[in-house]
Amino acid sequence: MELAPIEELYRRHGAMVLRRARRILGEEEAARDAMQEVFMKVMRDRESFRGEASPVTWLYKVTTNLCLNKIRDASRRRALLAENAPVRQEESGAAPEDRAAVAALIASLPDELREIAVYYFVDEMNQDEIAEIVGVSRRTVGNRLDEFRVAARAALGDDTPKRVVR
Amino acid sequence: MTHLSDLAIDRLLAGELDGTPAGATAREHLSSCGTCEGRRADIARDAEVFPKQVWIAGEAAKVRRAIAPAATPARRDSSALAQTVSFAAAAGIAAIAIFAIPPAPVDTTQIKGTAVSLTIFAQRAAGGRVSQLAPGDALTAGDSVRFQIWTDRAGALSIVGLDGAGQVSVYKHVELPQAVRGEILDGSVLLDDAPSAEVFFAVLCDRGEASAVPEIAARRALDEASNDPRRVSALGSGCHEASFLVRKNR
Repeated sequence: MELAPIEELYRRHGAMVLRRARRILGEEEAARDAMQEVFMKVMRDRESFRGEASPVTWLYKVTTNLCLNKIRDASRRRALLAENAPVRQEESGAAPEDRAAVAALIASLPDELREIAVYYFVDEMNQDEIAEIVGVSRRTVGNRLDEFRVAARAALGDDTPKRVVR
Repeated sequence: MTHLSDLAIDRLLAGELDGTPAGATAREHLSSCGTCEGRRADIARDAEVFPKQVWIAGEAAKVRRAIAPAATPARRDSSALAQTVSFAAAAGIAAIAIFAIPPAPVDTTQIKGTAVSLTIFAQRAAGGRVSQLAPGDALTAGDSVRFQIWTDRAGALSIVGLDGAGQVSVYKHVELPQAVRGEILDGSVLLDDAPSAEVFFAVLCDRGEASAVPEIAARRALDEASNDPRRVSALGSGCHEASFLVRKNR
């Protein structure tokens, strides 16, 4: 099966990718950059994408990981700038405290933990869905969520993440 | 009550769950859950207005440009690279007049799963032969070097040098509005006669990022490596990085 032209892929999946990026990154410009990078990856990995049973799931995973990497990288950059605060203080921005704490937490976690934590706490996916998207067993998902809670408790004290029920 | 996740709704709307038990279950849930049906309607509405919010043809063009096969190096003064910002010279290296790169150098550097790649050309003494360097090549005092860049995305590009004297120099800091393929940066740097290794890093950060980010990261990395640039394999800047090590002889 031929991969649809890039315009068609944007029409079919663009809104979903952008919504997801906005939800994780919280900034419109960063989300749009992320969307572009996701579609660049689709075009580069077209063989893999074409063979996917669920392109939606594949795009969820790619968008999530890309956005989490952006958060981690931004956190590193903020830390680097903070080291040089007297010279470059204006560059470090003024992120709200809680957002910074969560960003720092995300940045400090291993990839497999932060990805699962986002699916569970942000996306409210159930553990079966997470297991499918990540490609691990349901039991592993549960174990990693436990690990995440421990790490979050250590980093945030009592403000451990709770799922928001719609 | 367990609600449907956005993933389940997105898959349903994309038709991926058609004719499956999961699809039937999801549809049944939607018919009895106002919250999830509302969410489904919101997501469907988002998809409808998306083409009005985002210029799809423009986005697609950007993606095509970014993934286009490498072309021959661009003209020296083309695109945003004419906006050279800073050209700092540290001890041992100074900016000089540029030298010409052969029109079709051997294209051995390509983007392969990395966001930025760096190639270096050297001119052996003033007016001498110009050749593409291999990592670890030796240069001598009076040689000068120029940088060629590949990126797969827009960003703030810095070229940073770390040498054995503990010096960190930001030779360039430019905003790239789009991906570049084999772009040869303006200007060149002249090597002095202080023998040492020097590692050059091409660092691609998000657009608008300050040059302080790679500079601070480089200072820290060089410090941790006891001022031995050969031991610095990454800056840890949080940006995309590519490095190239050369040796300076007298």
